[in-house]
Amino acid sequence: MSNTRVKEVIQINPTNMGNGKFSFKDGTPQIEFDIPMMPKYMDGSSLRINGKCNIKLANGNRPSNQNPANDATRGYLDPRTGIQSLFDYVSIANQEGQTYEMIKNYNRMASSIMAKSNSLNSYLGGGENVTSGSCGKNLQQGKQAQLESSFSVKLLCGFLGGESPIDLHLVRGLHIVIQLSPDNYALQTDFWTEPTSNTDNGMYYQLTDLKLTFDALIPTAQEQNAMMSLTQSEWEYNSFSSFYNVMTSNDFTATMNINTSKTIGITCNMIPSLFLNNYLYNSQMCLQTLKLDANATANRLRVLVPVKEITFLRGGLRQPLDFEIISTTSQTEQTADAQREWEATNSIYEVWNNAHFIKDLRTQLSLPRGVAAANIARYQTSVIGNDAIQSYHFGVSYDHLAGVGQNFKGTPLAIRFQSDMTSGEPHSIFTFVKHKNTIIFNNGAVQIQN
Amino acid sequence: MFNASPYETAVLSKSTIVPSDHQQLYRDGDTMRFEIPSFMSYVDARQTYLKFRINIQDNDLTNHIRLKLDPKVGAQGVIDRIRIYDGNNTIQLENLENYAERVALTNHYSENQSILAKRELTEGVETTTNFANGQFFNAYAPDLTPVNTVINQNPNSLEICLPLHSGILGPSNKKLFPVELFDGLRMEIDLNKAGKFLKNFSPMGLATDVGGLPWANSIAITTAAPSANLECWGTSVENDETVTESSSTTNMSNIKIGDTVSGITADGLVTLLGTVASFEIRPSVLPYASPHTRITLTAPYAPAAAPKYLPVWTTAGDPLGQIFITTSQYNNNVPRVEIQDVELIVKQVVPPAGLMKQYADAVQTEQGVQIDITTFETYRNNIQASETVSQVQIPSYNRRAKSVLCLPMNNQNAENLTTDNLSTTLDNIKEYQFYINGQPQPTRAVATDDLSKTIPTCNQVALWELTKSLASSGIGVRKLDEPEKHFAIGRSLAKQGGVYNLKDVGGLALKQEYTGAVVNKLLITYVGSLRRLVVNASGKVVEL
Amino acid sequence: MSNLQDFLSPETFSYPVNQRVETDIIFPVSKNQNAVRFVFDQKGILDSNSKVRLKLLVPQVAGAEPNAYLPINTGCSSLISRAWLEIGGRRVSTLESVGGFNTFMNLSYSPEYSDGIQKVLEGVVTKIGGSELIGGGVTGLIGKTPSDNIADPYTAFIPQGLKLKSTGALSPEFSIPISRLVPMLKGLQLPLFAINEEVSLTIEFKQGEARERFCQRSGEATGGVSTIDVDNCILMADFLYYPDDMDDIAQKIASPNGFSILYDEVIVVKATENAIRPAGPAIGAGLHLPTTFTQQIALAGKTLKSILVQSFKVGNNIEGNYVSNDDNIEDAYNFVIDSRPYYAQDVVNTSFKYNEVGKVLDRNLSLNSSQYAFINQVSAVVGNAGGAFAAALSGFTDYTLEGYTQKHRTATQRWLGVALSNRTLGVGGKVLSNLPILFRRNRQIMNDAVYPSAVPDYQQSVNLTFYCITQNMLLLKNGLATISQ
Repeated sequence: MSNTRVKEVIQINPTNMGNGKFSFKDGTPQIEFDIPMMPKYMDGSSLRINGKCNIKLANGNRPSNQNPANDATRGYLDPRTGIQSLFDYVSIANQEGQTYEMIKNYNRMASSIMAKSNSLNSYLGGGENVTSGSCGKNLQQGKQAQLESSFSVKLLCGFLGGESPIDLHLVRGLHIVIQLSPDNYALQTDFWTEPTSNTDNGMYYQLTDLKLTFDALIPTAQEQNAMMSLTQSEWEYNSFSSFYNVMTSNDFTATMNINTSKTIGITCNMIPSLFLNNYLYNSQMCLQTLKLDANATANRLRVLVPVKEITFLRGGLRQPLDFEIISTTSQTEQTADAQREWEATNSIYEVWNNAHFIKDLRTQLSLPRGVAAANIARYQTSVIGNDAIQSYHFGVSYDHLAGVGQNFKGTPLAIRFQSDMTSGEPHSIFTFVKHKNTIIFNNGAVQIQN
Repeated sequence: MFNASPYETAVLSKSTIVPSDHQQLYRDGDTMRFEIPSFMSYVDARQTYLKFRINIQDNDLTNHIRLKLDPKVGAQGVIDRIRIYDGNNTIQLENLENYAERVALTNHYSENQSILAKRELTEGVETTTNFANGQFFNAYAPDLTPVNTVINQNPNSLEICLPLHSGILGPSNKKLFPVELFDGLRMEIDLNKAGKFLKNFSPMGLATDVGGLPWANSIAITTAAPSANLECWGTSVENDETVTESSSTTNMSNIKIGDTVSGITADGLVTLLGTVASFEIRPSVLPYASPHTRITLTAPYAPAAAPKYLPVWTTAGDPLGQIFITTSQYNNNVPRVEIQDVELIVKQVVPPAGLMKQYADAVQTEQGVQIDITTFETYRNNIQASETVSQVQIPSYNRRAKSVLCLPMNNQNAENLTTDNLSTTLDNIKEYQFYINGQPQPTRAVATDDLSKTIPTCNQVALWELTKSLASSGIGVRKLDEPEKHFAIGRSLAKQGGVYNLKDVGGLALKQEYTGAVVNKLLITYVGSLRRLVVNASGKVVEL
Repeated sequence: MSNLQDFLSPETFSYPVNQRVETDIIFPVSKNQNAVRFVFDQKGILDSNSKVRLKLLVPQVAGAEPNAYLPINTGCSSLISRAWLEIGGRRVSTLESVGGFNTFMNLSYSPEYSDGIQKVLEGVVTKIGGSELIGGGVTGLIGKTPSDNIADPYTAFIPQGLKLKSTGALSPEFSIPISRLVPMLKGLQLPLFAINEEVSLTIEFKQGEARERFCQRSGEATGGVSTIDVDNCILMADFLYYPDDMDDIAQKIASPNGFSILYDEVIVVKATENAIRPAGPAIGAGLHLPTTFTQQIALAGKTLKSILVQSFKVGNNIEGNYVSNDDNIEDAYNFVIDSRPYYAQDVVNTSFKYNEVGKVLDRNLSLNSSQYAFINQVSAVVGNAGGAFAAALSGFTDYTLEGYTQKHRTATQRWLGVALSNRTLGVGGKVLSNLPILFRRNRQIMNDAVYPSAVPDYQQSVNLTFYCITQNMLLLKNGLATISQ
């Protein structure tokens, strides 16, 4: 390593600073940062969005989440994603408008990624709650929402996540746009677990003191000259593309033209469509198919609908698994869904190496099989438990060997989902395709191959 | 996650099912056989696993057997031995013995909360002591309303996806394994008997000695005789972990229909009360202040002599009025375990053409293709309780040895539902020392006596030696808690991926000193090493 | 033969190298209650994972064994004041304030590693879980989960096996790798066989009692001066040999250019931010006063990789004096290097500070926000009013740990730092000029007691400790060792 090169920390305010407050409610849901084109190298993995977060009720007061007897004034973020749940859409382009990476449903993607890379200890005592404002537990998340908190989050995107420095001159600067999530998406009450909980339908969050920071290398004069004259290069990174489907039947096939030539893996999460953008529910939850729990207190989608089989197809052929993932018996008897969990964990991480994730037997088996008081789930008390909300994922890996992946150009990806669902309750399925991208810079022109 | 691979060419792979030799039912003690055909070319062992469903036989409505897999190993405890041969069955490539014992130890030191959770989800590990959460049956199903609900005991089968701790077909093999060079692979898995890996949830309701007053494990009752109904609560805080409708059923976890229950009556004597006919969950309806379980006997309890009334239960810790069954009665009936839908999920790989050609060319030469796998050779020695000082020879002649791991097991434990057959025993070991090439290693004897103190503390040298040994064996050490409960003697023969030639020095020896040993021990020694599999012009050779 | 670097670094070989390991149990050549000194044999290659074993004896209290324990984030590093490695009588690497620096190091390990490994080896007890308030009614707190104490279910205790006792038979032993005492040995396997001079390790013990070496249960008096069990203080050393390669290794080291090794050296600089009104008058109730402090750090000519800042106001009986207290209201700081501010805008955001200090070790600290800072635990700041802290606002539970409310751990591990190196960018550090580095901090001094003491902030001095990680080079040539910076 060199001792003649110098590192600096660059701090950038939002381009659309305005009064410095960003919130969906106030009509400022978009945050833009501009990193100028300059002969410096950026350490993309050091890029952070820093700021403060305040959560308020409709009347401008703070929520009160710590008193179990007080249901009326609760409001807090998803404990497993925190500030990442506030970002709905992220795009990274250059100063000339060429888009390098665009991630829709960024918040749902964070649900999958963070749940598979953070244990409960990581949230509570591993620094996640300092950086991304996620505490891992509902009660602790609620406590944090009562006063102003700070954050310094990393963007979960491949362009910035690689290990090689980014030539800011070659990429022609960067223009980063973050679209915020609606208030009723980001904030939740406890209605799903405590139906007597009241809801404030005007609560909102507000981000202030925003800054983008990253480490940059000040090259020597000679290196700067070399950078200025460099016009051709290639940049490779892994990225996620998102796809959205709604399932309403018990035999549903989501067919997607993902059109990526180097597909490394896919990870999917699901939630009843009713839960999205709804203060009553945590829109970031990753649940399986549900049906109504018609108990005396309130109708809620809380009873599990057994999932029978999941099949992954490439061009109509069963790939990369030459079999269906059959969950019928496990789901009916409410026991560990071993193969689905194995493949889902293996989809974007290496299951044999992975040593930090949130899910366990309690999270999988925490939903009742029938209406409450007649059919109790194994570990069902965990549904109102602090940290055992279900974390249901499915997916597969295509290439853990070379990391290059399968070619889906001109070949559709299909996921067949068979369940016992008869109610027709719509369930939103978010599919995130991990693939390798290549950016080719050639004399000012930029071409992106995926 | 986001770092792009430096490679440009994809390596195509798919997960395929390799069925077992017969697609019917296996039981504990049986042998499973698999054949991976040579046309599968190459295998990614990290993504290969054994899948099956396991359930307890005889676990129907009449028997109410409430058991779980040994929480240290889960379904890994099912496996006793693994042998892997080439496709022609002519040469044995790997032989793993006392598999469950090794995994029980390495699981403890390699786990953290997340890895334990992963094993809960995929390997059948159940850490709960509350049998209402057990997965082999549905005890959680019933509710308090309506009253008198019979505990539902629908038997379940547990889905298992088991990575094998094998140097060829397990995650420790980080390279593609060329199955085609060996004309395929044949694997045999010998299964343990159920008593070795099936365990009860808690000792509640079990007594080791009917003649004494073993109230520490018994269950409180409150009923005046003569009566066929016994109203029971738990007395252990451990088993009252949640005040739910299922909490009191925990206390019944070891008592089955057909068992004969005994009790301690008002005069302080142990008395047979009767045979269990059924269980019910009863709500907190007066005069009973909380939910509890009712046991109905086949016949009313009516002593022949002067009536002996069972006193009302109190919370004062009074041992009177408690029931139990004997441990010997409980262990008389170790159920069978059924394993079905057995599949070996193999990640079949089509490697780059260059690699296949490279291997094809190399096979024709004298040097051939050399594949190193990390595996274990097993040695066993008996150490009698009377031996204060024992020295055992470990006749390992591995040329590429990495580590030694010695597990002293209690050789007097029967394989049943209440004994821990997979844990090691300290047995008041005072110190140990290895002799390698005639030299003592470490230079001073390693003290281990602090582990046997009333409040155990760590012997740091012993712990350090064990940690190094595990790391040299390829086990990622993440936990060093409770070394007194997971005792092992370790020695790293080489570090950082290096190897040590034991053949040149004629093996090694272990000297142990005990202060007041009480059990006969079986010392199981695992020598971790790199075994070299060679396929050359002369054929297939295994170099130790 | 592989690259020489492969044999002298603790990384795994890419192919199976023939190796022999000899483990020596080394007793000190000199030992007393002030220090111990170990001398290494000139043989083999010293494995950096070799360890020192330590044990502290705390006298009985009124005839009963004490309930004494090591400061929970520091562990057995609290027993050591400083340590140094000498080659040929010259100090080649020194670590001052071992307890303070290793507290920071311990906090950088994951909670799983800390709870599974560090607790057993070094007596570090950091893991926290969810909790609530005694008596209920308030949820969402954190802290050490209570022990199974039926008599008082709101108490947590240090595990019995980690409690310090009065005799060697009862008190537990701990171990610490020598690479944690001598940063030079981190990532370096020292080729002792190629060094013709004496190589020795000296460990100086920490003196002082309460909150320095150990802490003691609330309400329990001390029974006298604690002692290090020097008779059982040993070095567990692994010496590595490569039967096929030792001659080649020796030749390469003995080559005309010798063999040079870059290593980190930690230079400790202390400073004080004096109380602004040590004798009054008070700042108005509910108000705070902006105040700027500037400290100089003289490191002329050194190659600086990073600086770590510890700010001490008041210790507690759980963490001892190994704390770095935060101010109620976010301070703003900057480093001025070669007359230029390192940050274009002063660093204010707490989470950003947390990320910046994580760059010192290339991994974030494992802390909860309630441990790191007061943000989210103070009243709203409006102008120069507000920012008051009340125990009820703390994120910690009032469940006790060894009789002390865990709220005492609020905002006690607020470490600051700046890294001038970056691995991705290929920057190893910065060569400094003769100008001292200035550490400038704008604070809001409160009219509020520095929790858990009763001393108001404006009467409280802050002791700053700067751990400056610099880069040195060790040259081995002709059996001799030379240091250059």
